[in-house]
Amino acid sequence: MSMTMSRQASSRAAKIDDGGADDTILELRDLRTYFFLERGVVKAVDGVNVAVGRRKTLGVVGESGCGKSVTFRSVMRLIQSPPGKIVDGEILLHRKDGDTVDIVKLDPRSRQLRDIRGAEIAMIFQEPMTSLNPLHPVGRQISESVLLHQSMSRRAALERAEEMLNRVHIADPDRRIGEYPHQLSGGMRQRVMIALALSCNPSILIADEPTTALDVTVQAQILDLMRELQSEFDSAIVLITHNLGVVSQMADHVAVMYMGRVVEYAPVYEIFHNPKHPYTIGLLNSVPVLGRKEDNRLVPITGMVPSPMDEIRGCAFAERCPDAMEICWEQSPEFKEHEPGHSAACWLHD
Amino acid sequence: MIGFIVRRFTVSVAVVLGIALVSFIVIQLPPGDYADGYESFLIEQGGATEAEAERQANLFRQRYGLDRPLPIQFYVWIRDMVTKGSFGFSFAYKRDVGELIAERLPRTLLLAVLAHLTSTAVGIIAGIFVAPRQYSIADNVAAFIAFILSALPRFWIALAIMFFLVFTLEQEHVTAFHSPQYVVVPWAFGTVAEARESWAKLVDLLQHIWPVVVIAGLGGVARNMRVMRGNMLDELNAQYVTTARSKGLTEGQVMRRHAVPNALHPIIMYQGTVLPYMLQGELQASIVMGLPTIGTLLLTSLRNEDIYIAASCLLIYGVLLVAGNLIADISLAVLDPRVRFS
Repeated sequence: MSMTMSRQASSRAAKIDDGGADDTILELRDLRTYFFLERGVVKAVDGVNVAVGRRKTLGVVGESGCGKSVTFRSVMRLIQSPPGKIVDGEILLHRKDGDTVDIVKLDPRSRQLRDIRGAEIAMIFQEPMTSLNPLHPVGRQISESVLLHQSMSRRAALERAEEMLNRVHIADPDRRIGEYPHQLSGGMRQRVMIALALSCNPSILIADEPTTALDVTVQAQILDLMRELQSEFDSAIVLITHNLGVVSQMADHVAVMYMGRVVEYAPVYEIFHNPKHPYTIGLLNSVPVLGRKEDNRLVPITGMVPSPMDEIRGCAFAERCPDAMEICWEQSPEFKEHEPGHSAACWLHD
Repeated sequence: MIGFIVRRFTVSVAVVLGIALVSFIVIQLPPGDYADGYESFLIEQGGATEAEAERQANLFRQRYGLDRPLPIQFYVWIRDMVTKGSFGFSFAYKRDVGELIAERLPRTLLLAVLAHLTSTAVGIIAGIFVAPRQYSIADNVAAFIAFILSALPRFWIALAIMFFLVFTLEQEHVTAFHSPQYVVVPWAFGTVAEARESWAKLVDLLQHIWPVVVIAGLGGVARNMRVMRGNMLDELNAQYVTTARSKGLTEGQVMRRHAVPNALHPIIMYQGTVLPYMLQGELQASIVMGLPTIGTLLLTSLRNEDIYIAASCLLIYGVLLVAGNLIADISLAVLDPRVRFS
């Protein structure tokens, strides 16, 4: 009994920001999203605990296929079902009106969920080339969202779209609102997506690899823009990326994901200077750093990511872990707070 | 936009001229001509001597210009078409070809367009319906029916429907547009009695033409449904559809405003090529059902080498094909900015 109590207490402490529950806008509790395919069940998200602070930026990093996109698509309920299904957990959103709602319990076709999408949580995607409808002018695609969530005339909504294009620093917004996506460059389209996402003043912006498909110089501009608009619009940002450099520039907190779970969560400085999980350490060692000495070679993480369909006993990272101990093969480590605000799922720190 | 239409139209005119030339050449390809048939007719049925029959045949050739070189014949045919609006003279019907075609073209187009509209509308709606239900029972049943429909030969379906109409429903007149009592009824809506008669005539007309419409349209339904289903599946997985959902649109709005217009793209593109396909469907069905349309006219004129009818029919089919493509191009430009601006 006392054992379960302490476990609950510690995992709760891990979830909630050190600033306290008042400053949390979104909490995921033990979220599990599985895909039921013919060849087996893929546990894409398998017990994620993470919180997003109001007006803060959460960086979510991990290899391809670790479940970072699926986690936040689950938050928007954009998982195609079948085959995908949220099988367990809670997604608690603290809404603008003060209510707290569990998104998992909402019907994906319900009015309530549609009111959240776009108005409270907005999303931008990796491929700016395909994330806009090629048949409609960009202004109309922005005003469509505005009209949906705010009662105003079409003309006012288009004016709002024009204002938003101006806010994302697109020149000649009055001309651009009438243009079609194919007339814009990749960077411009991503600006339009950001304008679209922020047009209804959402409290959370989920950015799923927003700069991966862009040139490096454009990447920097887009990141600058996001930071600038974050303070203007008072939004929290969830930045999903595999680029640790981007995370170090943008994030307040970082969640490192591996095999559908968060294995480490800490303030950004802690992650880079005091990483606890061997996977995080491995990730940091495999990234080139400008000015590092030549003999300090990049160290890859050995082994391969196991198949998500394998039934894994113990820690999912054990077979690739340089510090694996006996217990790592037997029992899965619990995700808990080891230092204030710094949680990890690793037996090394127990 | 205007420039785009003018450009396309100019090209179309050139293409039509080319089609006229090819139609004319194709008609000349089989050995012999109408006069040869006339000659053997005189010998077998009229008891004329071979020499006499040949003299008559040559006179016939002279009268209708069949003895002149082919380029001249073609020139005269085109010249009369452009200057007098005359498509030539039918040897068998002893009438102006233009009149013959004018009589049948509206009915033919009525049948073809009805078949086309039905098959497009039903096919697209069915495709939109089954796409989000991929691999469900409804989807599989629809696919099964679609494959059967597109595999069955049209003439066979026509015969089967005719058999059913005559022997099961005991409908008396199947190979006509109207039952005899309605043939002379005028289309008029001046008085209540007239309107009632016209209404009854319309119902009677529909009773007679539905098999042709259905038969000509069936293959199209299957094809449109499969194409639309495939397009919808592609589009529903596209990123912009996820964007649309993440705005908070209802699933219906996502489909109507975003997925369907994009999925319609390939369907509109092949509208141009589908018109002759419909005419061909109408042709087969009408021939088996014995309806007097252009299809049956073309068949008989080809049999007895009534060249001006046959060439004119081919030309008309060609013009319809070109017109269909032109309309498809313009509709596509209206729908898709990428076509319009390039």
